[in-house]
Amino acid sequence: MRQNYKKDEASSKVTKGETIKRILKYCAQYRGKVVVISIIAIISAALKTVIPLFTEKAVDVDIANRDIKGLVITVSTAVACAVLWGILAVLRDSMTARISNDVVYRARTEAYSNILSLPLGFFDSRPSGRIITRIINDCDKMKEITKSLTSSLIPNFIFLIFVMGMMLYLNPFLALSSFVVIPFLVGSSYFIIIRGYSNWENFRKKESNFTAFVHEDYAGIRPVQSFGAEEETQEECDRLLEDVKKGWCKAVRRSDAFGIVVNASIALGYVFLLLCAVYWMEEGTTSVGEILAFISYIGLFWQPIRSLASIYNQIINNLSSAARVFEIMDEKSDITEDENAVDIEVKEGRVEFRNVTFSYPDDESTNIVENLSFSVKGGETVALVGPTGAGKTTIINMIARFYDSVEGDILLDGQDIKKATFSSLRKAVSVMPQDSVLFTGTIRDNLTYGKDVDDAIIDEKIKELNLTSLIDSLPSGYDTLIKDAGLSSGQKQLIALARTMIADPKILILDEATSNVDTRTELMVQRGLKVLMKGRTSFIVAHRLSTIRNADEIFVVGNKTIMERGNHDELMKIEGGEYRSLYEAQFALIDTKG
Amino acid sequence: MKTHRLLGYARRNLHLYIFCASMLILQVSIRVVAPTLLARIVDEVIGGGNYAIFPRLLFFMAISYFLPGLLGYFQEYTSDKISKRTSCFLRHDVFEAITKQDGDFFSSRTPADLMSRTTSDTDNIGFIFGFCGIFLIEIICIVLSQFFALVRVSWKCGVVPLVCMPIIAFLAIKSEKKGDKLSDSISDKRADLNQAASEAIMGIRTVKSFGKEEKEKERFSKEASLFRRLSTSFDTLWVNWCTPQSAIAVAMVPLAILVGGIEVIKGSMSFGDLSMVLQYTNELSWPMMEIGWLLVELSGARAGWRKVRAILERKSKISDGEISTTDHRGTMKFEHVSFKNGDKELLHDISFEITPGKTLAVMGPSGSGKSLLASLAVRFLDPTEGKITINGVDIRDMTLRSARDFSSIVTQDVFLFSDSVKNNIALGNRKNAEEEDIKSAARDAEAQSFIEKLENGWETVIGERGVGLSGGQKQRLSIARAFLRKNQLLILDDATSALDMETESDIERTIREEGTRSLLITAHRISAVSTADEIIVLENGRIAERGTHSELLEKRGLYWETYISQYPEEGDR
Repeated sequence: MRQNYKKDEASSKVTKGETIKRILKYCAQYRGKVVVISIIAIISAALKTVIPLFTEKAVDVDIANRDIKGLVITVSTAVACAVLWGILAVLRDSMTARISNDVVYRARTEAYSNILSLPLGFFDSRPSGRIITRIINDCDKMKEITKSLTSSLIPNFIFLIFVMGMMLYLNPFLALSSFVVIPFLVGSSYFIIIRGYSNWENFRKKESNFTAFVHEDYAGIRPVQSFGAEEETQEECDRLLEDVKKGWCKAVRRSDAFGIVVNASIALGYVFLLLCAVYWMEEGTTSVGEILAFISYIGLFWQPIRSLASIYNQIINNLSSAARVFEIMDEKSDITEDENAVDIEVKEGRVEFRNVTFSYPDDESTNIVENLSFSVKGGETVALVGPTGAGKTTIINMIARFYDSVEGDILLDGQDIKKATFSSLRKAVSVMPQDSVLFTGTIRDNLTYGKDVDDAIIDEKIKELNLTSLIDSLPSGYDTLIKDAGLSSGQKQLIALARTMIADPKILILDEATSNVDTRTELMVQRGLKVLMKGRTSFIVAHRLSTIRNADEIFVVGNKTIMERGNHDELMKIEGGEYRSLYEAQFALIDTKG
Repeated sequence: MKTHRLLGYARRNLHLYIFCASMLILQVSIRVVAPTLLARIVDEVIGGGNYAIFPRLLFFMAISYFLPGLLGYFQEYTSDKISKRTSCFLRHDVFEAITKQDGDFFSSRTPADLMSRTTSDTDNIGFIFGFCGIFLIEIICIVLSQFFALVRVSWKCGVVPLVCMPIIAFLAIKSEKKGDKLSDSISDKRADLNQAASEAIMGIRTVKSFGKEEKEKERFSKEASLFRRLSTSFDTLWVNWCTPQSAIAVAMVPLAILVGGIEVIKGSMSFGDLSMVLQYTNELSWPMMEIGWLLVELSGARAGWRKVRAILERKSKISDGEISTTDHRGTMKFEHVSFKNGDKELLHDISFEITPGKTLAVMGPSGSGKSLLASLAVRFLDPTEGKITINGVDIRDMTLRSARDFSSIVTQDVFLFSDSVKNNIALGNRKNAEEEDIKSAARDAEAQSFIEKLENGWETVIGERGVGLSGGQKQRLSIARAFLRKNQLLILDDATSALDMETESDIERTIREEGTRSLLITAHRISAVSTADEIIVLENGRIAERGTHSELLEKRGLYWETYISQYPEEGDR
């Protein structure tokens, strides 16, 4: 099903538990460092709790005894502790910063690599803003989790256990009576987490809708402005923002309640402890001093829980982001390289279709192409013509494995493309799509597109395509940045064409590639193309019959198959043939004008 | 001026701020009471054995611990709400401002970059207005009140925080400044990262057909790695500058005790006063530990605000005029129009008029200025010399809306939205377009038959940029979109190049048969222009030839050359 910004995405298939497990797995790669951080964290936490003890000693002992020397010593020790704490904290947090940014980097690049390996259908079925927001915004949020995990969650947890141990050691009865509230705390926070999580998930979806919407709207700003749709889109924007706001408020309304739970637990905890203390005092099993010590330990006991409560919101919100990142990381491509794929070598460029049937995955009942078989000799030029939507683009997309046939095989020089490695297939087949794009960078970057090519070869191809004058007219020739070149869309297409030529494939596919080029320019290109198409098998989808008349063979595509095939003269001879009527339609207009 | 605008956002949340403040005051005062109740239980019940008052004290103590939690909840929820409300207000304004911008603005910025400004930067600012801002205020209040309370007890002890606070403030301001610079580059780097991903994803067909997934991954990894470096140094900066601030705040307490202790020993201060000194300095110390990270957050928001403000305050070069008309019939005239981009003259002295019912065609090679002409007609750009008029009125004097309502433009790069077919056709008219009108517009654009064959007919959601449709189908939808508007002038800017000839001539015939509308066609196909009432041949931004099809053929000039190249057989005759 095709998505748009009006529909919420489905909830992530990756569950909360799994998300946590996977984050831990990432952190586990830094096991050593995490252990060091935790140790430092515990020491620094201990130091910080020791400092108040020194001030207490200063007041109770030194000042009470009027011992100035002792006072100076005690205070200096406390200050030294503060300094040491500072140093350890810097150490702890800078290590954490490095790890958490590293984890994000890895998750981000991993997710991105997976995305690029997905089939076109994935990209066609959702707004690009949605995909982008997962690898940018959601990954950023993931950082907060690892950060709080290493610098706060783990040390606080260890500290908590340490305090609980101390309490149990001092007086197990009093300790247990203070722990009575733990089930209440865990139970109610569990309730908040379970319900809270889906609220955060919902909020993330709303944010994603908004992001997808603005990204698309900004990309299509021209029609918006020229058709006076500003108000309409503003209303849409406000509606989506309203959803974002509502989603956010709903999520925080619940998860902020964690603070109430913590405070209620503290109150309950004190009540229990004091009740028990008074009871046992009567029995004589505890003393005032012990109770006072316990009260101060309870303060320590709640300290890590309080600090967990303060970061809890962030963690749970960010957890839903992380789940979205993992989900896109797990997305499986249905067009994959065969396990035993081999590098194919295409020398002749023969292309053969054997009983090929194709339908789009989201509409399997409608076959676009049915039981299609044909073969094309190496080096031939085939022109595909036919009404729009007849399946010309589909046929050529299958040769490059942009889509896989549902049934039947496609062979290049007798080798099944489904058993070929992608790299060897792409080397053999080059497609120039309808919407060729040029990337940020220089003209040269775009012409070579990652391939190591000598300038001499570029010059040669450019000359063959008659583009030398265009390049010469640019301020810095090949090194002109695309954004400074001020190319018209026709000129952009010519550059894209040259890029394909430099890639030097054995099989060439041009999809309406020259439709934006004016005839004079196209004529130049045509001449160049002729030279370059020599020795290559070429498939051209174009509507201009004059440019395809010179093709070795013409396929008239329609009715889910190839209705007519032959060269121009042969097809013109067919009375009432499809090709002939197309050809005549072009001239009818001129003839009536005289 | 700068801050004024931001304060406006705060004012819109005034009632929430007031609520937050009252919650805060209540909470703080209860928090002061709670420890005294616990102390009384310890002293009087456990120590003194007075069990009679125990239940009452226990009850109040429990309340005094629980109540701040409840009040704190309302405060936290409200401040979270303010954060998001503010960022949504900002998003609304940014979106509005962006929608109004001119062509120059969009040619220098990518959708991904603008998306980043609209979503991330506004969130950073919102956070400051809500959670962080309120926290900062809380901290400042506490610091000031505690400090004055401390000075009243002992001015000598007050010297300790008086020395510590400026140091902390100095460090904090310094870190904010450093953070500011880094935040700026992080914000830009995030936009770059967005850009790298967005280019590859929107151009995925090109990436895949060259098998360059690895190269794109590398490019992205490189950007991601740079981003990681910046982000790590930002986080480390935070650590390196904020932790010393905290350490000073922690050390402040024993130092105050040292000063106070000496006073006590000297006999110039009582023990009771010393315990108050201890309490006040304790209360002073924790907020100072928080100031550091708050200011770092602030630096992030400031950087974001700079970017957002640049958008909000940018004046579009295409601005509204005064004259608003509802009568959209009549003649458009180009009078000696020239257009310069820097030193380069792209159009020179172009004059023509398009009267109702007539068709004007503009022909010329790529880059000759055809599309520029179309952009000028709908005021995406303004001419640098000369003027364009509608019924004698300069379109610059008209409101943008009136000027643009005169014509509809169909461009070669079709942009369709990931919405239903129906909504795509009704763009700009979604609220008042009748179903029948939409259908008849589609019929005229020869789109009805294929639309009805789609999976869900008119309600079929098409992919972003019209993915899933062929080039011709996309063109027809965009033509239907223009037909629906029924304006005086229809501009087909190379729009029929993806259509087959038959469809193209059918569509043009439909427009002509209507008789009252006028048509401006830019094309490079003879078949698209041959029947026009006047044909202008452009070369290098100048009019090289003009006339009707037969007149131009007789001239044996540029037009004739093109004709021969497209219909070689005709030339042979």
